[in-house]
Amino acid sequence: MLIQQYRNKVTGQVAKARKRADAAIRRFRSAKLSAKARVRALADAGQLREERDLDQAEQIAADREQPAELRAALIGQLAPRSARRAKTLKFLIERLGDEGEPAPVRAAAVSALKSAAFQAQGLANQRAAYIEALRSAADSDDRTLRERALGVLAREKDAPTLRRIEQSLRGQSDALVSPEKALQLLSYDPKRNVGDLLRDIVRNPPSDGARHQALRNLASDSSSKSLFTRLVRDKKEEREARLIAISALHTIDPDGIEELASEIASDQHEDEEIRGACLVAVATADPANAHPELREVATKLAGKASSRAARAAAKLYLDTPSK
Amino acid sequence: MTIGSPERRLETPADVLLQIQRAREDRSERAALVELLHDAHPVHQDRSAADVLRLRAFVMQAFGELGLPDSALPYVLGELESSRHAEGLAAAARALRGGEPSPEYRSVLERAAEVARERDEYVSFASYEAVGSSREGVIASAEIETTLAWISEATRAEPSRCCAPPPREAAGIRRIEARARASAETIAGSGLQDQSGALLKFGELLIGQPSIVAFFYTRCENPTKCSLTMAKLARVQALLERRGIAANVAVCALTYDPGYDTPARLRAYAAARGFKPSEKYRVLRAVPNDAELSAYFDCGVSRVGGAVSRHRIELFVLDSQGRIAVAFEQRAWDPARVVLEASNLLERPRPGHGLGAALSALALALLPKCPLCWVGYASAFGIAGLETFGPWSRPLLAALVILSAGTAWRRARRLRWYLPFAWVALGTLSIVVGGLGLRLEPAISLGAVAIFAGVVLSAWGPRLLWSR
Repeated sequence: MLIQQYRNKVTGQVAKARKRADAAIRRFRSAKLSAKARVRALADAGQLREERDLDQAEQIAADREQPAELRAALIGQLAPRSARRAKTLKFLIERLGDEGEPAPVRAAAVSALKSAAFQAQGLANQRAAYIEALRSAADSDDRTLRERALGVLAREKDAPTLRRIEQSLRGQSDALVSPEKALQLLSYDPKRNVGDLLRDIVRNPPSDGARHQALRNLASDSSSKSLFTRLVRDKKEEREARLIAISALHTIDPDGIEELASEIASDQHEDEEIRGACLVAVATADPANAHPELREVATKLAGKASSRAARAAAKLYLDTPSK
Repeated sequence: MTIGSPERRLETPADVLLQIQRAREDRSERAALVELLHDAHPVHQDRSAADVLRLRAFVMQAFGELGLPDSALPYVLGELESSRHAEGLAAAARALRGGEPSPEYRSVLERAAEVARERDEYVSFASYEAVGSSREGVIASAEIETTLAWISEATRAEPSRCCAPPPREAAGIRRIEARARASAETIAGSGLQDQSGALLKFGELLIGQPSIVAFFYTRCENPTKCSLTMAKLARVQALLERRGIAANVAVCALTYDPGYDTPARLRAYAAARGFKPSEKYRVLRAVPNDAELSAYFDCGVSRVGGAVSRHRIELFVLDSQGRIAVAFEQRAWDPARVVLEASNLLERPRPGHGLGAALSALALALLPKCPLCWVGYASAFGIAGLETFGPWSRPLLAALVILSAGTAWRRARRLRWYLPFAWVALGTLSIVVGGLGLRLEPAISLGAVAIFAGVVLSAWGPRLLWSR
């Protein structure tokens, strides 16, 4: 197809989409429609752009008489505006921190504010109120809201939040989220003194997911090298744990992983995906030194492995230039 | 570091709170609180970075009430310069108000206020466990603004009496007199590995010329600490080149995290920040571990599970014997200042230095040695040769040339510059073997010229080379 034809096609598609969006916005503006219909209209409209529409969105979002679903959808529309308008930012933070607001409204505010935080201006001058509102939302009975708020706080490395999460994993307070989720949140702060807790969870996991996450959290801990080496060598160990261990050793023992990974990759009685992961480890540890003797191993695996992941890994090894 | 007497060991937050109470009753107890600000204090070890931050902040803010000792100033100002945590910034701003106001703190506070606005949150020091909120707490930027207002008020209220410059300790620069410097013998044999994987000893690299050693680690998340340190070391390199003393000063970056920071990681980290490794400039890790070096430098670092938890900014200028001569601690350091301190440690000819060599050269100069001098003396006394001055002249001449050679050798070893000694040795051989042994007259003349040239080069060469 010629470029011009393609351009015309795309232009046509954009024009159609624009028409649909404009129609959706007109439906949204109609106060006669039900809340559900207006929410559907918003989904079709994409991002509201005109100031009058955003003003209306903010007005409806502030009206507690309106259905929570509609208010939540409109709060989602306010994210770009909040990045340039302190008043809208303040409005969203107040919705988030207000324990009397329905959970969907507060959860929508979390998402909208996360987006605002990425803007250049960020949360200028209102961060303290934002963090306080998040901490309040982290106490909510609503699981979705609680997890969203905790997720943001953990990424912000909020010390009181991370302390609570750690205490809940240690059984010193009520669980806020599942153990796997709690461990994932703790991983945002690698400088917590939780090595003992993580190793305990690896030994006595409440779930497979929690064990895997605990292993991932230990992946930056140099003192866990022997644990991961043992896991990699143990053929009776579950595959996921061994794959995490290979990745961890690549981080904490980049010099030592080559030899171990070469040995395992060459073992024809070994799991295919494990062999593939070891080939990748060898290839990426020091690409210039990719072992030529493993090329035969990789060639066979690329052609004959039943696992797609193993074939892809072997192909990556073969594509890595060697000395 | 000193951590107080056994009965006053502060090992838990509860001990720390008790110490704060003691300091309320007796101001002399503040010294133990200042020790707690040292990142290497035992109370911080194996504690999460967040907990260390909280503990230090809690101690620091107490100085706002207890009065701020001068020894705590570098910690407080360092926190304002490099912290990216609301708690630390608020505590430091509050602590500063426990001391004397100074307009010189304004720029540090203003920069801290910018950082605080990006990282602001409510903090509370009502109790150790207190979590800040709008009901109970302050925001960091407001605390900093309060301190700025306090300084403005002081300068406005009594302009003639305000404000004395900050005490010297505030700069965070500790200079150690030569006679008080701890010997580096204990660590001369400590193992190091550089960014290329080469293994060497501390003594090989850092003894024999002045050197600059800064600490960092690649997993540091604070851009105003390790990343900036490496970039500033690159600046130090450039300044040394400009002064023409790049070959005379070693520059090393040493990691706090030898287990993780492999040579490849060290190499990549340095390259990304403009530091150019070479024979004299290295990025290093201690092998097999950094216990000895940490102890020698009294590194300000706390660890959790073997990994680095928190650390201060620190850079050391070592003399040619590897001893710490100047320490830049806590505060952001200026590359030009560091280079100046290092260049001050370079060997300079001092009054009297090389005197022995100069005297022996002078004595040697008085003895007839040039062919014309011989002719002159011979004609004056009627006899050619050393017998002119009696039988003692040969042994005297031999003793003088040996003395001259010995002095030149000592100096060459100290400067690690052997060219002058080579001249002296050649001249000595010429006189002793050629002149006194084989009785070749020109050999004495030539030998004396060579010795004299070597001595002059040794005594004044370094000044000529390094005066730029």
